Amino acid sequence: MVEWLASSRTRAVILVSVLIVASVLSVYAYLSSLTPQRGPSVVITSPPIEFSMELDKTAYAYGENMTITFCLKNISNETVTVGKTSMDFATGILSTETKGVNDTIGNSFHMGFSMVDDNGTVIYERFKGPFQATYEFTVEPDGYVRQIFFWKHYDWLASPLPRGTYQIRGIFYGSCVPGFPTSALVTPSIAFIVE
Amino acid sequence: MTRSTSFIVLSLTVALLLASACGFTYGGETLPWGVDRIGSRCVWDNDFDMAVDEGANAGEKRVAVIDTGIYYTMEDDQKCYHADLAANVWSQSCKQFKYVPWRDEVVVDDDYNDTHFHGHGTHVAGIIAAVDNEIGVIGTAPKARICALKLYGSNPQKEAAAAINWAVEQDIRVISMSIGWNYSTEELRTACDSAYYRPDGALLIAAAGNDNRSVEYPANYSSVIAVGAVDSNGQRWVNLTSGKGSNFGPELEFVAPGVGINSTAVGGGYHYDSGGATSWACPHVAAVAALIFASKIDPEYDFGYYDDLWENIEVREKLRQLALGLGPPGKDDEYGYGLINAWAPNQRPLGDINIDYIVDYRDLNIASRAFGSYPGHPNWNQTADINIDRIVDFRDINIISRNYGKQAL
Repeated sequence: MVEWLASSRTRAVILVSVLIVASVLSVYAYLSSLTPQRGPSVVITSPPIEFSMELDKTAYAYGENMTITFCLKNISNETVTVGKTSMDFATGILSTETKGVNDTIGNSFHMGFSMVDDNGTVIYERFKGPFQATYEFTVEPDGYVRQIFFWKHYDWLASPLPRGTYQIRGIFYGSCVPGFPTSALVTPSIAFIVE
Repeated sequence: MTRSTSFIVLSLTVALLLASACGFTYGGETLPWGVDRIGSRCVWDNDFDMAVDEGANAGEKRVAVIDTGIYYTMEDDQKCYHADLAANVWSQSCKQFKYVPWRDEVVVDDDYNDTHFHGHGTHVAGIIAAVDNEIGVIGTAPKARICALKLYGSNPQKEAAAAINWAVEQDIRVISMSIGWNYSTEELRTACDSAYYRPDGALLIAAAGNDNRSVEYPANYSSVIAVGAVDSNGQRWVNLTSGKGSNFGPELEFVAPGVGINSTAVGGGYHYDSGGATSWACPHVAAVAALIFASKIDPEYDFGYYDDLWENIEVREKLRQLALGLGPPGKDDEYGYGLINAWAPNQRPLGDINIDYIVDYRDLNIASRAFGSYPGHPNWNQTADINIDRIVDFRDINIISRNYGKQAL
């Protein structure tokens, strides 16, 4: 191999180029796999903020993981102070992206959701953290906090969701000043199927 | 008054106001206002030199902190804790509790580093037991031993239940939980009840919650002491703009300092939280409980097993008697029995049910009206159950009779 390469500098250059291109493609493919696919989304607007939720798709295989993207955005012309009454675990968050936010808040989960089955029974709900400390951060006009939650698809009984149809709603539980005191902003629901 | 004199007077006034709001500094160490306000220093620093007196009771008991862990770094394969906590960390009893869904069990391991959540657990630990060492802050019980029980977060209720059970197995008598949910789970209730209602049971203390509404769980259980937050003026913490506030209701048992609290932080420094939180109130009560557990039992309170040792119900009753009433007379929904207090010259005598600082016919009347009642019974009156055995009976009447006529000094 070495002799073959040494016999022609051009061949060596071609080989190295192929290796580089293959590496770049592999990295691109890996990063693409981390970026969630775009699926159905819902939004609730309550000036000065807008809260949205997006699923990666609407049909999942039994036991398949779900990726839910939440985004809290300041749609007003002034900086708002967002407050939370408790802190939640970062467990399950795939990534946090912010723009115009004054604090490093990636270590806590700020959004939430509630999921019901066909009978309207709550299968899983999570919108308020267990740690009883309050905190605040400011969001500039057009600024946002986007968090991608990688949900391992287990219900409260730690079993994979049974096959069926479900409805999920995004919940932001907090306050916004100026705006509203601590309350829940709830999005319309999105239906999805576990096949 | 000259302009320069006015300036000096103004500066001193501002400095005094700031000091009283944030705490007092002696040498290199700050006494947080909360630690000062609840009288804990009167227990361990009688000469007021801001150091634990020789031989004084400074709460040398283990306290389980069910939270986010405490901060440490690794150096030469050794855990190096925050300098203001290190001497008080009971390392072998620090664990992480992680729920594994596919096995439906909680596994326990030694990774309990608090590197997330803005150092919640580290802040709580400092309020309880920041070391008397001339740096940073000093805790409410500066010799209490912290056992950090970290929740991983896969299923925090199951993890909290496992942490409580584990603490009981280790014979840890004080459990501090600055955690809460607005719903109950069977595991959590069972863990709390079995930890409390057992011989040599633990005293469980939990934050009431910050939503300015009803008390959350586990604080809501009768086996757990629910703690709300007050500011430095002794007012229940409420922020009308944001809607945040200390939760309230009949389950609330005490209030403690929870606004503008300075304590240890992730990274080795300190964090001053200008806002309010029942998370910071809860550890004040846990630390006072440790101080009582570490003290020689007051024979008057030895009504549990008459064994010269503090039982959890006896400590709970002592806490109630020491509390300084706030709000309307008696126990109320916003302040419970009042502000937690470690030492009081005017401690209420045991049997003073209506909190008027004297044991008299009024207390006997209240107990008589509730006689024979238990939780859920229409005549049930929690305050009349003096020995906290969940029934108002002859034992409670006995305590009143024994102390009849006694009043606070």
